[in-house]
Amino acid sequence: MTGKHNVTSKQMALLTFVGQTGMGMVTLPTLLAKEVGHDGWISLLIAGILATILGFLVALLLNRYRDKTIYDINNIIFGKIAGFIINTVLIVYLFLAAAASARVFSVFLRITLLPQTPVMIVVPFVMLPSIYLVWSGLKYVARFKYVSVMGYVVSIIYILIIFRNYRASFLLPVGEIGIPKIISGVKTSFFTFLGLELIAFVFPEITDKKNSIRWHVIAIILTTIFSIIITAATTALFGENFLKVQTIPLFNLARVYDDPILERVDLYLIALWFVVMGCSMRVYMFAAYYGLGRVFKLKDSKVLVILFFTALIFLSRIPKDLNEVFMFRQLISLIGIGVYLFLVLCLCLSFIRTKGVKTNETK
Amino acid sequence: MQAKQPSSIDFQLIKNELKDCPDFVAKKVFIENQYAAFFLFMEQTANQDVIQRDFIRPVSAMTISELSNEVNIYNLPCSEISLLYDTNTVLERLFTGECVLLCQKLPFAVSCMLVDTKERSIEEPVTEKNVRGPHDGFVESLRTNLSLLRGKIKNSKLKFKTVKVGAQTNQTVVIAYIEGVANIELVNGVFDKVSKINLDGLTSIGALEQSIASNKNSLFPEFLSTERPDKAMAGLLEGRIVILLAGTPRVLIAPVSFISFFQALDDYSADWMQGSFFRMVRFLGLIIALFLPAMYIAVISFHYYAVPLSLLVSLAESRVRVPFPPIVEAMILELTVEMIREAAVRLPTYIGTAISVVAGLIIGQAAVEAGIVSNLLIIIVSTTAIASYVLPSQDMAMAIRILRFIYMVMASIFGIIGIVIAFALTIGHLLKLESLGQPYFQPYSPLDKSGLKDSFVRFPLRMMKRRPIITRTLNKFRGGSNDGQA
Repeated sequence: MTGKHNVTSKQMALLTFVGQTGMGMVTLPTLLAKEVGHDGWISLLIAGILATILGFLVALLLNRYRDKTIYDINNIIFGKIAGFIINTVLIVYLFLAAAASARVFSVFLRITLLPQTPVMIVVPFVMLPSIYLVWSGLKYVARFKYVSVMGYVVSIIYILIIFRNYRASFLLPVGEIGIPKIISGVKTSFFTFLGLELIAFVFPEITDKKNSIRWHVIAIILTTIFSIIITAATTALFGENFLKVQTIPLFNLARVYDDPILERVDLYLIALWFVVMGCSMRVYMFAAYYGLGRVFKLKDSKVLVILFFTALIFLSRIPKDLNEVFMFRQLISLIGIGVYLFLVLCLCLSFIRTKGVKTNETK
Repeated sequence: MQAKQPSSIDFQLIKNELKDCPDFVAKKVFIENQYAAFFLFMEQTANQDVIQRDFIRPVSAMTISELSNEVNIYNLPCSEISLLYDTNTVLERLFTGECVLLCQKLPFAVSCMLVDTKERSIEEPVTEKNVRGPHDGFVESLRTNLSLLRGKIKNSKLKFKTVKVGAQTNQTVVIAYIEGVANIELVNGVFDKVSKINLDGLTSIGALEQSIASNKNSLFPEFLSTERPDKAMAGLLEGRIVILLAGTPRVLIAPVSFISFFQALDDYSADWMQGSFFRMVRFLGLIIALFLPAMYIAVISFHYYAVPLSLLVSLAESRVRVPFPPIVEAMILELTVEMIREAAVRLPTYIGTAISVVAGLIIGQAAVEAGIVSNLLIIIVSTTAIASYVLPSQDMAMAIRILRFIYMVMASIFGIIGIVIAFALTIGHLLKLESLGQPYFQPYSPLDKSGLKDSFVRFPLRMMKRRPIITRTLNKFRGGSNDGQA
């Protein structure tokens, strides 16, 4: 019998993959087109390789301590006071990331499906599955991810169906933008991989830790492949110039296919992708909620869940308009990169301050 | 052996307990023409002719000393004889239909199983017909039901655990399982749960189900109820547990998953391609029953651009005459269909058919002409009604029907995103739900690859060697040895 938060390495990998791709994919092709033109996929490939190495290092750090979250590791490496301050910063980051995801979700909803329904009615409503699942536990958050796989399968099939509309010339010549621009695009591409740090916050709940490194690396590789497919497909379909002026290229991709029976197949594809986006934001919500319990010793209760989500909804309303929303998200992404680097620093320090590190004998 | 002392059973107490019970009979005889003895039985449940022939006559011919010898008692020509030593046990035996001999000169009472139960004949269940399978069904008699199972599984490993429940009714619940195939921890878990039921009595198998369900506020059934012995047998062979309640023809099968409610025995009677086709038709039925009216409301209210252009004109013409918003229009028709269904269930078949014709044809046509509902909605609601009756389990069909109304309300407020959120909540709930502690949404999540072979499609039997993981059986392979090897 396992606890309500226990997941397998495979489920954790799925959580990471969905957490990385669910939200980011909607706008990524436009961001890359603006910066790297039609060579965005090359930046993504480089960022993917870097993210895989980073993800490997993060998983390595966690495996050195086995049954500890990053919060416990911080307390060991930096001491209780400094550790507590760092942990609080990490929770604030998770909380902001969850709020940013919730806001982006509501923005996409407003743009695509419900332009006239008041936001303050829509947002609490769309949070209902998240409230229910976060209260239920990580196990159920992870199990729900299997449902989101349907969204990915349908997306891939759809991309294959519209292959006649692609123009390979939109992707040529390869590397036209030049190496310096491609390198600078790596930073934007790196935002896609926001989510690889999530494993650090819930690591003790993984039941088969020995497989965690392998599955974490696989998750990041899958993210790399999927994001390259989406970026290449949208670029080959719209061309970089048209892509630059779009806001939601992934949803525009869904509008290409002219179905003789359903008329507007995009309605259903977008609705399906909202399930995936919901899964993506839920991972951060759970990580933030779980962290609150861990660091501040708060007891898991229905009241706490309600308070948490109420605060989250109000926080998500802080950005005033669409531009501020995307700036907010970009800021979170930058902090996220800072968190990755911090985790690598912790790995280095773990070789100096070896207290709590599990050696092969003690594993 | 008990000491040969006068019986401590208090006949007066028994008579007091059974005061105002006109069906209680205490036939008095004199052993050796001098010692009073009583044959106690309940008039309606005991077989009086056989009691007279096989119990009263031989006992009356014996002396007290002969009767005091247990060997002579066990030699009586009755199938089941037992010796009783206290008043409560005598009362219990009387209520099960046994005949009890009571004599103050004897150190014990003698009970004899000579039951004459009035039961209906074994027929095919009305609500669970199938085409290629057997046509027998469970009845109200527990003994008959157990014999039906025993007749299908001629194996000493088929075990029945008995529990008495109901503070007033003293009903018998039997937990059936195959030893070595079913997980004994699950069996013991069910036994404990049933033992702890603290009610006056169980009016139906549904009351038992609700008493032992882990989530009492769920729309979805945690147990598969059936009247078919072949379905119960299939469950037992997969390592599941079957729960029988005396006095009801329905039995419960557990643990089960969401997919179990879409499996019918005809799927396995036919070849795998036909079975898979039926299965997919049922899933299509599920999708239509759950989403179609809600999608109609969402599209008409929010996403009219999703209607094909050729249909949009005729739909607009039809809708323009309807004064109600789509949700009211749909609710009127859906609730009418539900009322027709409810009326048809209660009424005799010939009136039910007439009601269906009147409601379906006349009211439907008149409603369109009066401009209360649109043509398209009539088609949608009738298609949905047919789709919801495709599901083999009434319990699941009922859950889907109630969910449909929730989806419709959500769609009327939030359009397609309302449906998406309601669906996400439904799936979230299904993921959390358990049947006897086992995940309800398996094999989809948690993923069970072998279980997928018997889900949306039904693979050939030769490829379904493994028993379902949800049963937590140690004997993992069908036809395998008890040590879990194939």
